Amino acid sequence: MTSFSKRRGAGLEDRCMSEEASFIQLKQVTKSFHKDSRAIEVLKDVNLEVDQGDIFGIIGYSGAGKSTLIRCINGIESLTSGEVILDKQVVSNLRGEELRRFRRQVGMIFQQFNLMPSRTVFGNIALALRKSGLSKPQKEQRIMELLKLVDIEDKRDAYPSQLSGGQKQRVAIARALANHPKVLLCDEATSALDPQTTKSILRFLKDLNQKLGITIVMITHEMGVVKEICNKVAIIDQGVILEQGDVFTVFSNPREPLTRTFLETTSNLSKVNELIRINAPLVQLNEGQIIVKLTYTKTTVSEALISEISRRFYVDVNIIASDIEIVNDMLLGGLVAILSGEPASIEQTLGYLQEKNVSAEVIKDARSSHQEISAECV
Amino acid sequence: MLDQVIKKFLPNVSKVSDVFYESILETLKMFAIAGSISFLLGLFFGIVLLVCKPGGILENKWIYNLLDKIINVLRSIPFIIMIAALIPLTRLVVGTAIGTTGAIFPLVVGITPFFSRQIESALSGVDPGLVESGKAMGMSAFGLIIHVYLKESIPAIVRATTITSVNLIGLSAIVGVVGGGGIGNFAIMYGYQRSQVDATYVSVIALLIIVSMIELLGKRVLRNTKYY
Ligand SMILES: Nc1ncnc2c1ncn2[C@@H]1O[C@H](COP(=O)(O)OP(=O)(O)OP(=O)(O)O)[C@@H](O)[C@H]1O
Ligand SMILES: [Mg+2]
Repeated sequence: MTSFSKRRGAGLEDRCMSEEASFIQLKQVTKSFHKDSRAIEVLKDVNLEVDQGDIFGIIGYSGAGKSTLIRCINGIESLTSGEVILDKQVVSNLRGEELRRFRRQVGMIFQQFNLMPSRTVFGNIALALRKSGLSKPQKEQRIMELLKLVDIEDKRDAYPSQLSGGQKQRVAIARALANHPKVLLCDEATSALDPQTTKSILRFLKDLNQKLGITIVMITHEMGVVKEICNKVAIIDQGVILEQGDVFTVFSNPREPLTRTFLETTSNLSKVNELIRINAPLVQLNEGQIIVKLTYTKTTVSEALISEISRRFYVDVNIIASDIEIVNDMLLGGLVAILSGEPASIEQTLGYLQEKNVSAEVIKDARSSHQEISAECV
Repeated sequence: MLDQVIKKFLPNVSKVSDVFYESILETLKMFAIAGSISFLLGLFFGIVLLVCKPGGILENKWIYNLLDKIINVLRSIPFIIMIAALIPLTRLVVGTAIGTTGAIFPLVVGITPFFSRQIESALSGVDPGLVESGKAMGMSAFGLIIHVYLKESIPAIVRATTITSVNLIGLSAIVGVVGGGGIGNFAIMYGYQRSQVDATYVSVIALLIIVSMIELLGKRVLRNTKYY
C-alpha cells in the first residue's frame, strides 16, 4: 500500500510547508479546441495547487471546462500552453511509454463508471493490472484484495450490467486503485447515483483518503459533494478559476457572485427571500420587529449566541430558518430570525453580533424610524 | 423413385448434375478464399479508418482522407464494370482472369471496401467513455484497439461479417457471368443461355440455402458472444 500519510486535511502543517512545491500544480494552463478553423478557449490561465492528502473539489456548471481540466492532470488531454506538475513530474513533457506508466499511477473514475461491459468485475480490474508486472497468482491476489477493500467480493464474476450504480462505481474505484496510485481523479463520480448511494461512495472516498493518504481531485456540479468531503475547493466558470482555497474560508466568505449562487443552491435560507416577496404570514412583522440573516464567518460561535442576546438585551429571537452545517469541523451557514424588542436594544444587538464576527444583514425592517424595506439578497 | 422425381421436375439439371455440384463447390471455394482475405483486409482498413479519423486515437488527416476517398470510389463502381476494368490487373496478380482463380481477385477488391466500412462503423459504436478509461489505465493505441475497440465490439463485428458474407455470395454469382465459375456461371450457361428454367431455379435455391446457412451461423455465433 501507499505510504500512510500523517498530514491530513487542512492541518496547520500544510500551511507551513507551503514553500515546498505542491503535490499537483497547474501553472497558467490554457486549452483550446479547434472547431471549423475557430479556436474555442476552454481553459484560460488556470492555476491550481493541490497538496498531498487533499480532497480538492472543483465545482462549476456544465460546460465550464471541468472534465477538460481534470483530463489535463493525467495527460489524456494535451495542453495548449502552460504546465502540469504532479509529484515533481512535468506531465506535459511525458511521451509514449513514460506517459502511459505515469497514467497507471493516477487512478480515474467517471460519472458513467466506464466499466468494460464484456468483462466481469474480475476481468475489469485485471485489465488495469495488465502491465503491472505481477504474476498471475499475484494479480489474482491483488484483485481479491481490492474487491475486499470496496466490499463487493461476492460480485467477482458478475458482469457490469448485473450491478447497481453504486456497485459499478465501487468496481471502478477498485480498478482505479489497482496500481497503488497516489492520486485519484473523480469526474462527477457521484452524479449518476441516488443521494444515499452518493453518500456511501463519498464516505468511502474519504475513508480511502484517510487510510491510504491518497490525494483526491473531485469534479462536481453539486455543492453538497464539496461540503461533504472536500477540504479545498476551486470554483470554475467558463474556463476561469474564480476563486480557490480551503472550503471553509471560501464558503464562509465568498468573494464571487457565482460562489454565492452555488452556496444558495444548498441553503434553505434563500427560501426566506421568496417568503418575503410574497409577504407570507411567517414573515409579516409587527411594529418594531426586524428580520435578520446571521451568517457565521468565524468559528467563535461555540457560545450560546442566541440565548446570550435574549438575556443581555431583552430581545426576543424567533428563528424562522436555519442552515448550519459542519464543514471541516467548523460551523458554516447561518440562520434567519425575527428580532423584537426596544429599538435601542435591537441596535445594541446588531453591534454585539458584529463584535462576535457574525455578519448580520437586516432583510426586512418594521421599525418606525425605518421604511419597510425588503432586500433582494439574502 | 427419387431419380424419377428429379428427372421429372429437373429434366435438364439432372443431365448435368455433376456440373451443378461442381459449381456449388466452386462458389464455396471462391467464398472461402475471397472471404478470408477480405476479412483480414477489411479488419485492417476498418481499424485504420477508425483510429485515423478526426478525433481518433491516432488521428491522421492524410491517411484518413486518402483511404476514405479510395473506398468511396471503389464502392461507387458497379461490380460488373469493376470486374471488366480489373482484368489486366487480375492477370498481373493471379496470372489469369477467368475461372475461380481469376474471380477471387475482383471479389476481394469488390467486397473489402464494403467490409472496411462495416468494421469502421462497428468499432465506432464503442462508448468513448470506455476508450477514455482505457487511456487513463495507461493503454497504448495498440492496447486500446485490441482490448477495448475489438473486444467490446465482437457482437457488432459478427453482425458485420454476416452481412458482408451474404453480399459476397451475391458478388460471387455476378462473377459467374463473366466466366468466373460457380453457381452464377451455371445459371447463366444453362438457365439463361439455353433457357433451361429448372437450372435457374436450382441455382436460386442453392444460393438461398447457402445464404440461410450463413445467417444461421451468424446468429449462432452472436448468441455465444453475448455476455449477459
Ligand atoms: N474534444 C472537444 N472538441 C471541441 N470542444 C470540446 C471538446 N471537449 C470539450 N469541448 C468543449 O469544451 C467545453 C468544456 O467541456 P467540458 O467537458 O470540459 O465541460 P464540463 O465542465 O466537464 O461539463 P459537464 O459538467 O457537462 O461535464 C464545452 O463547451 C465543450 O463543448
Ligand atoms: Mg464533464
